[in-house]
Amino acid sequence: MKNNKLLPILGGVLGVAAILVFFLTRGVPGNTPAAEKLPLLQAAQKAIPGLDSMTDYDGDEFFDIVGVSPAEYTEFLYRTGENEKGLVAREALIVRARDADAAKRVLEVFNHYHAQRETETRSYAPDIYQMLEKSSVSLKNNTVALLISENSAAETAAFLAGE
Amino acid sequence: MKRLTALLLCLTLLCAVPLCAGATQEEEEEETLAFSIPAAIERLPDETLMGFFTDSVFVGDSISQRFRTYTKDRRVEEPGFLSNAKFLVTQSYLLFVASKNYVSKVSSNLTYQGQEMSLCMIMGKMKPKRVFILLGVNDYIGEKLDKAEEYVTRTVSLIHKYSPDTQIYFQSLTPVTRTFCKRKDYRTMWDQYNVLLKGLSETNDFTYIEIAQGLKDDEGYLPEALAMDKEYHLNNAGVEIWVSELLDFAQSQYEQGLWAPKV
Repeated sequence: MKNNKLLPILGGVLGVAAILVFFLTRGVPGNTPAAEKLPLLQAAQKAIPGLDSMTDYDGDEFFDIVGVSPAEYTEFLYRTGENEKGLVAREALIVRARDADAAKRVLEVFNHYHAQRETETRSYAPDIYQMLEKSSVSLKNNTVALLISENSAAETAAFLAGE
Repeated sequence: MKRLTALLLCLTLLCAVPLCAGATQEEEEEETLAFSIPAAIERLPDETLMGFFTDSVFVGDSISQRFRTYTKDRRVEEPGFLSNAKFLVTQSYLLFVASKNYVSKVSSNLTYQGQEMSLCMIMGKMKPKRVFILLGVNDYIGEKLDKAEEYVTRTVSLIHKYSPDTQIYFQSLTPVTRTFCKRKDYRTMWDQYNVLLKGLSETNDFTYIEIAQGLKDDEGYLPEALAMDKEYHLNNAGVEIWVSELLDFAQSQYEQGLWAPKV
């Protein structure tokens, strides 16, 4: 008799435990577990056409040119591409920040950089300025991205889908 | 007596021969020295000359931005290309803005580590060994020669104030295409600015580097084969000539004893 009462209780406890284990290993729906993320370069190559032909910059240059300190991120990518006149036009700035606070700081730096590029090109290179107007900084989880291109919105969406 | 005299004469003659030979040899040696050409100073390999640009910064506008892209791409295969030289470039940067010790509220500024700053302040932070400046195109400086002297001398003065040990080099403006000169003869104006710049280098504390001559055709224009935009932005072939001119300059500094490569 006692066993008959205990079995449903035991089954309920096991069921709850199973659900807990499921979510602990899979994460909250909508978040991509860190273990499933591709390395940043691979993820960017899948989403950004022509990335491999763009000029690559190291961490020191990224800090000097854009202003993001290596202390803020675990991975970064900074590449530029020229237009037919030899001017830097396309740019890919991506950071996987160390934490949420770092991501907020990087977001601010990227927005500042975007504004500076608009000032630089507004009169001098109207075609690049137009591209900048179509581009904006995006944040998902702790990944911050600024993709300056003719197809910025699509490339950004494609890239952030995996973040 | 006669035999003795003859013997003495023979001995004298025998002694005189080596003395004469020695004198002749000395004369020959003197002749050789008089006509000898001093050994020419050897041309250093390009890889060695690139050491001249260690701890240097190139400052400029979109023309130098092209140079930066070219350098970055070369460094993929040749990490020592132009040593560890850095670039401070902004597409529409003005010589006028470079001559100020504050940031412009209307024109584009240089940025360093995310902050807009004046050139002299950045020099104060970076303290490079050498700074190579190429500016003036966006100012249309050839049309403002009266202002050019003020901008150049003030830029030099400010850099020295913020970074006294930095050696300053102003590069000549690179030439423009015939297409760019359809409206006005910018070719002549650019040349006049370069003459002014060279003259200023003789009375101010900076060095002038001539990089334009190798880029010109017989009429003084930039050939369109060296331009990306049919105006003045150099393509890779044009930048290669620019680099060649800089290496020649480094060689001249070596020959004048003003620089020596690190052993």
